[in-house]
Amino acid sequence: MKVEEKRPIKSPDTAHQIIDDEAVIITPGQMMVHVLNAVGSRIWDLADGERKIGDIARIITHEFDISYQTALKDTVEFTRDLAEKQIMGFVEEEGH
Amino acid sequence: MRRHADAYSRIIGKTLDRLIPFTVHWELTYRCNLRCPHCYVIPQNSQRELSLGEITSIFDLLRESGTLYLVFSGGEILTREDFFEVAASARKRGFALRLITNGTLLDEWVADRIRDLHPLSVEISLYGSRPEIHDRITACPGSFERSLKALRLLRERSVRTVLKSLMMKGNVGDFQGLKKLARDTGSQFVYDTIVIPKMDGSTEPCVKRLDGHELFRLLYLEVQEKGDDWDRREKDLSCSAGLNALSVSPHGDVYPCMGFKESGGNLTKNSLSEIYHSPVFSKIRSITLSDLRECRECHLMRYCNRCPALALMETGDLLGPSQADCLLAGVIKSIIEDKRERALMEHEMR
Repeated sequence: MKVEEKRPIKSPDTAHQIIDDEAVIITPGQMMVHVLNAVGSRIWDLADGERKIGDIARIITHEFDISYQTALKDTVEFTRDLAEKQIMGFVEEEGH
Repeated sequence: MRRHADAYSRIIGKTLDRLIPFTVHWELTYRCNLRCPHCYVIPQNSQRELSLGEITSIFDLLRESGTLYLVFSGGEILTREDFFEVAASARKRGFALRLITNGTLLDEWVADRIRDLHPLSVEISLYGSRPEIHDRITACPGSFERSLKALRLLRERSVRTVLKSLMMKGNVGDFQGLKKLARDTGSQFVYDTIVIPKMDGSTEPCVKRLDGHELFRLLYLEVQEKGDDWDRREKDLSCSAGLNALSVSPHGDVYPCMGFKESGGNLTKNSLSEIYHSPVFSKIRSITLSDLRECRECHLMRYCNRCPALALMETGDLLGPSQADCLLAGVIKSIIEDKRERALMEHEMR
């Protein structure tokens, strides 16, 4: 599967809130609080398990006035980083 | 909890400045299966508890308003038949949950469901490390074993537990036993020393408060070990009530905090903005050190954690001193001075 096709989703054990474009995320298992920057917070907000990484990158391109390639790179790296920290996952597609 | 300190402090600052209810303490029910005489709650049978539908509507409102932390307490939260629907609805919306319970209604099935909620912590009240102490205080034989079992069931499921206690006459001699029980069950130990008056203003439970000598003996080692934490030179006597924290009753009434039972409105009828700008909330937010006629000149101020709600409950004066806080501050000062004198004597003897 192409990376743009992946659908990121918030881990169900996280608690989260957005204050002034900054996401505060708590992982109860690790007792960690993460505060994300504006772009990261928007990606977090959009990661609903429905949107693909490509869809999210297009929204970031539009809202933050950056190129699609930059937005895609940021979105891929960011979601991968959060997945490594078990804050986010990717929806398993049927047949994969 | 580990935090990205600067960024998180900045968020907290924003919630304080902009009156965002970051932490909401919600008493889901005043019903309880225990009958602890020191408890401040008085069941209000004439008033209807909020339904699941009303609660979830309020969750949506709080979510939009910036709430992150929800603390559920009672009464006993597990006496609500729909507790897990309420809690699951909160988690679905992304709130961080802390659950406060006596644990006596907790079995394996309940423990599994609590684990699935991923709460930050479950706080279980225990008043003694042995049944004869705890059960006498709860007036419920067998409650100790059930609460202890609850701690163990939760720990087996890797749920973070807190053994929460109130030190008073009747259990003060068991302080070390409680600390050990917390360690043995893998729980954090948290305790308070101030018994608060009942919701109707009755000070009857306060007869169980420790006197100065008992407090001195209880806190001596604690204060000796953490002296600098208790001695605060930069003291502003402020609290977060009515700023980024508020309290909700089982009926939807909103208070600046749990101890301050003057309602700023009801969430089934009023907006959060109306509640935040109600006379009650405006009054508690407007208090400054210069308003505290006696406390502002008090030599115990740097040792004091003055609670305005406690002052109001004890004396009817929001701006006056609280007897319990004054006593505690005096004891802390005595212990710190004792520590300094001993250090001086040791130095002179060398």
